[in-house]
Amino acid sequence: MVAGAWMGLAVKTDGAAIASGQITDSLIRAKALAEAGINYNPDWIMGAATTVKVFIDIFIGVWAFLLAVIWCSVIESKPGERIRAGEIWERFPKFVLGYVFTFAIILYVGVSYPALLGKAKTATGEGNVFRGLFFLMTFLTIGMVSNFRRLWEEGIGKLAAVYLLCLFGFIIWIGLLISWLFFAGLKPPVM
Amino acid sequence: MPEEPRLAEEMRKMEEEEFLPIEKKLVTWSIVLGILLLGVFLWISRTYFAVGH
Repeated sequence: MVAGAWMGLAVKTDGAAIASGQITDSLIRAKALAEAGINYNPDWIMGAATTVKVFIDIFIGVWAFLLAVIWCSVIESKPGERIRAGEIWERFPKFVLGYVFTFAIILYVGVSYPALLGKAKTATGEGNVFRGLFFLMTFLTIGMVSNFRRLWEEGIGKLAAVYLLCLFGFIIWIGLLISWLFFAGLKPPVM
Repeated sequence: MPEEPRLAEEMRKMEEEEFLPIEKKLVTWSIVLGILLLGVFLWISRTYFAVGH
């Protein structure tokens, strides 16, 4: 579970993080089965990556919103000028609300009507087909529209070098520390 | 038709900007808040959801 949460923390985009979680899930389960004969339930490690990533997305929205409010109302406030509520709403990343509502609805259904858990799991399983399909399309389209020669000419190499330095110098190690602090000792249930 | 802006040229045109004092304060407080919240969430996790610890 540490490895799954680590993927969620260290890999930048949602699709890539969840795909990394899926790969980690498959590798760890295959190794545990081959070497120790332990057959862990599938998708728990990937679930850790997804959950961590979704919570990051939700809180990026919340923090960005708070920061924007503080910035406009305290730091760069002009006398007599007030922020319109509509302005905040226009700038708010609405996809975050989709995550929050879906999570809240499924949690409410799961807790209030335990008898529906089986159906909810089946529905999630059906949804997984689309998840796989859309991942495939995401990476296919990224590959198709990326013009790496043009990006290189534009000086993106320097930006990529800075990003790689930050990633391997700090981000993945901080991610590993945080996921270890929260998930150390947790393992998926055995089938 | 206006020419498409090129990232390399735009980056060359950018002037170096010093951090504003308020930005330095913001970075410092963000790190402090991050460390504090990490401690708080870790305590909540280990106290109320002590699975595997």
